[in-house]
Order: sequence, then C-alpha cells, then structure tokens
Amino acid sequence: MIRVIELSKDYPVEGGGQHQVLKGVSFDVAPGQKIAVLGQNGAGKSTLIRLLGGLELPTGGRVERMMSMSWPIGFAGGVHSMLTGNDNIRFVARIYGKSVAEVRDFVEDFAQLGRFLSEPVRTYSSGMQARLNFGLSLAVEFDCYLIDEVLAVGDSRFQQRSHDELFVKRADRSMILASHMPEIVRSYCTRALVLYRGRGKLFDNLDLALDIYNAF
Amino acid sequence: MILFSFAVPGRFGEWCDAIMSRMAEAALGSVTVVGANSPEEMATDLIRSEGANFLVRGPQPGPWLSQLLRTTGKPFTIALNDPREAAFDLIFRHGLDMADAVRRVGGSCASMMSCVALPGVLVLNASRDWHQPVRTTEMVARHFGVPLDNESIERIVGEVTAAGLGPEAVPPEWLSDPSAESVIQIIDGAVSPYVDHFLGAPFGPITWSRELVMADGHVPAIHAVDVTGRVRALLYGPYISVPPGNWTAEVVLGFSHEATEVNFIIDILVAGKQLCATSIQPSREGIYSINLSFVIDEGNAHPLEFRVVNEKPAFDGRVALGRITLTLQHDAPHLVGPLREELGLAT
Repeated sequence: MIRVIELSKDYPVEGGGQHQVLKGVSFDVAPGQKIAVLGQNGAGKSTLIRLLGGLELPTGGRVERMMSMSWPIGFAGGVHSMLTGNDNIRFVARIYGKSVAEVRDFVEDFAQLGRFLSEPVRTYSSGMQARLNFGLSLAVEFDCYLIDEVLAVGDSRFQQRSHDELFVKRADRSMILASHMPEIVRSYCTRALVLYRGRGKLFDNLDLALDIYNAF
Repeated sequence: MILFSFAVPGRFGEWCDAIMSRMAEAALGSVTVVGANSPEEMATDLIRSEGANFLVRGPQPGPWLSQLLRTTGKPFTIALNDPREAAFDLIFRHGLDMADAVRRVGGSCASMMSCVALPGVLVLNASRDWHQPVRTTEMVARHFGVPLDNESIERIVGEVTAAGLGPEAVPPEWLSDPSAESVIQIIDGAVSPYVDHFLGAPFGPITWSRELVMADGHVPAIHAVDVTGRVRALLYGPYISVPPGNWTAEVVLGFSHEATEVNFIIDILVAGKQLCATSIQPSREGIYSINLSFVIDEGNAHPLEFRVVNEKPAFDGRVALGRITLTLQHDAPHLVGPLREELGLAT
C-alpha cells in the first residue's frame, strides 16, 4: 500500500511569495492497482510524481510507502549526464544490490543503444536518454512504478517492448501513470486521480474522470 | 344525470363525496363514480359504465373541465378544507410522505382557485359546513336540483357519520410531538396562502422548503449537494402546480468556496418547457438570493419544476438549497395597460 496524506508542495516565485502547486492531495494505492494522474499542463502531475518518487520533499503532508516504489520512469534526473551509459548502469545496480551484468544485459537488450552505452549520456539524443532511463527503471523490480508521460517515446517497436515490459510482464504491479492520453488511461488504469488547481480527487469511474478533466 | 364534485384531498372531501354519492343514489337510483383527472379517464369510465347517473369527482379539475363548466354553467361543488389540515390528514391517515402530501394538496388548491368564481359553483367550506351536515346536505341537493325530503337527508347524514367521516381533528398528540413542528412549518409555507385566499384575503407568498425539493441521487435536498461530476440537475422539484398569473421566484442558494469555479444554470420548467432561466457563477462562497420571473398561463395546470444545473462537468464544490419563495405579482393597471398597448399585446 502507498498512502499519500495531505500532500502539499510550494515553490518560491520571483518577487517573493510562494506558488502552491499541490494542496493537500490524499489518496491510497493498493497492491496491483493502476491509477492514472490527469490534469492540464501545470496542474502538478510531474510534481506529484517526483514527490512520490522521493526526488523532492513535500512542503506539507507525507507519503507512506509500504511497498517499493520506482523513481519516475523516463525521468531524466535518474541518470548522470557526465557518466557513460555503462557507468550509470553500474551505479544503479550497486544501489539496488543487483548484478551489474544482469542489469547491463537487460538495458542493452531493452534500450538497443549498442556502442553508445560507452559514451557519456550528455551526447545522447533525448530519445536515447529516455530509452536508457526506461531500461534502467525496468531493470530493477519494484512493487509500484511511477510513469510520467513517457510511454510514447521511441519507435513503434520500442513502444511495444515498453508496453510488454510494463503492462504484461509486470501486470501484477501497482502503477501511478501521469498521462494526457485517454486511450492509455482507459487501457491500463482502473482509477484516476484528477488534479485541478492544486487539489486532487480520486475517481473509480474513468469516464467521469476524463469528462471532468476535459472540461477544464 | 352527471354531478360534478371536486374536493381538496382530506377527510372533508371524503365526507362531501360520501354525502353526494348517497344523495344521488337516494334521488336517482344507482350512481357510477367517475374520475376527473383527464378527459380520457372520464370518457373511458362513462363509456364502460352501464349506468345512467354519474358522479364525476376529483381533487384537481383540469383546465379542460373548468373551461367546460364555465361555458356550460353546469352546477358543481368545490369542497375546501384548511389545506394544512388536509396535508396532515394525508400524512397521518393515509401514510403519505410529507412532500407527496404537499404536492397533492398544493396542486388541488391551485386548480380550485380557478374554479371558485365559475358560474355554477357551490363552495363548501369545512370550517363552516362540516359542522352543519344536515343544512349542508340540503344546500347541495338544492344546488343540483335533486329532490330529497328531510327524512332522507337525515338518514344520509347519519350513514356518513356512522361510517366515521364526521369532523375529527388530527389527534392532538401527533401535533404536540416536537418533531411535528418542522413538518407543520413546511406545510404551512407551501399551502397557507390558499387558506388566506379562500377566506378572501390577497394571495400571499408560497414558500417551498428544501424538504420538498430533490437533490442529485433522488434524495430530499436537506443536505448540501456535491457538485463533482457531469452536467446534471443537482437540485430539482418540487413538482407542485401553482395558479395562473405572473410570478417571481426567489431562490436562496449557498455555495462552497470550490463551487465558485462552476457556472450554475437555474431555471423553472412546466411540462418540460422552460419558462425562465438565469445563471450564476458565485464570485465568492456564501449565500445568494437569485430571482426569476415567469408566467403561468390560464389553462396550465402542470406542476412546476425548479432546477439547479452545473453548466460543465465540475471538479469540486457543494451547493445547498435554502428555500424557494414564489410571489404572485399583482400588476398595476396604470403601468401594464399602456405597455401592452404599445407592444400590440392583447389587453
């Protein structure tokens, strides 16, 4: 179970003051549950994903993690741009106590970066970076995956591979998926968290959640 | 022979119906009772009957029947009871819920208002006529030209009294129950203007409390309604008809802070046709009074539907109904006449 309790996040704005991106968002994620996060640009989807992944600390509230949670899949901050692909692989493997060889084999096979794994990540295109991030994220098994609008990267073959890895091979895992795409929401999720002006509301009815989201 | 009798629901109406049935049987032989809720119902009952004498009765003579009675001048009776007591009777004796009882009594009173001035009417009033049953029965018989001797009249009155239809107050223990006070207030607000009007006073404002209106989910609107969701009627009802005329409605609504992000449509409909509408997106949380004006035409006896609808799917917010107050406008002739003439309207 993941419990999000009255989560808030403020950012300072130029000239003084604070911009409150999230205001007291609360919801639970049960094992195996897949929740879509819907909201217009600037509604706080990525902020929420980063807070859930522990990449930032909330201004208020808390996240109780009773299951292992990935960092945001596709999140560029998950790799160090000055290191090579292989260096990043070794880094992640060591943090999570995984075999370097196993992680490397998986990422090589998944991301299809070939010799570029020996090059610094800063030399990669954005698509190559996303594929490396994605591969690294999936190389470690988590109970709950955080996905921030990254399912559409790469060519159709890569997208199919991503789909299979996430939603077929890991169908029993929880997911929190930020997306603008109704077909992805309807295909993979059973509930939807709609964010609006910093507030969040969880809906069991996906069609209703999409209607409300589309009305903004 | 066809006799026409209309009564506000309740014991006095039942007493009048019983008197009229026995009176007609005594004078004319067997009498078939026919409903007057619609021309179709009346025609069907008449056609199916083998009899030659009919008693047409109901709580709410429709405009079609009122018009016929107006043009033919046929004799008929209207039995008026204190609408409040009529509503209590429906609740206490017939087990109706309060909203249903108010609907029936309110609708009946509204239609009666159109009939009290018709040429063939005999108005019976419970407070006066129920306690003088012999005199009242004589009066009714004379009105319809039904020949009855004193012995027959007294026998009829005795039979009806023995059947338990004599005047009887609602048991005082029910009225003294503390929980009855709020019910009394709700009923009073909805029907007391008719009490005053039937006694000759001007028609005062009708107040429909939240208990008479429905909320999303088809529950009484006694709590704030969550606006979250698709476009829909958040508040609707109470489906009570009102007399013809120019009306204003004051609707008191409360909005939560989150509801200020929503635009609400407030309208009034009759038979599915919108009579008036307005919209409000509250500038801040709080209580608002929204006013609408509408006209109920002569011959329109359909119940009124008031609605509050969110214009778009809503993320959050709550709205609560305070009350609806309807006021019949009495146009100042010196203003209305010249305006109508200028617009080429019928005067």
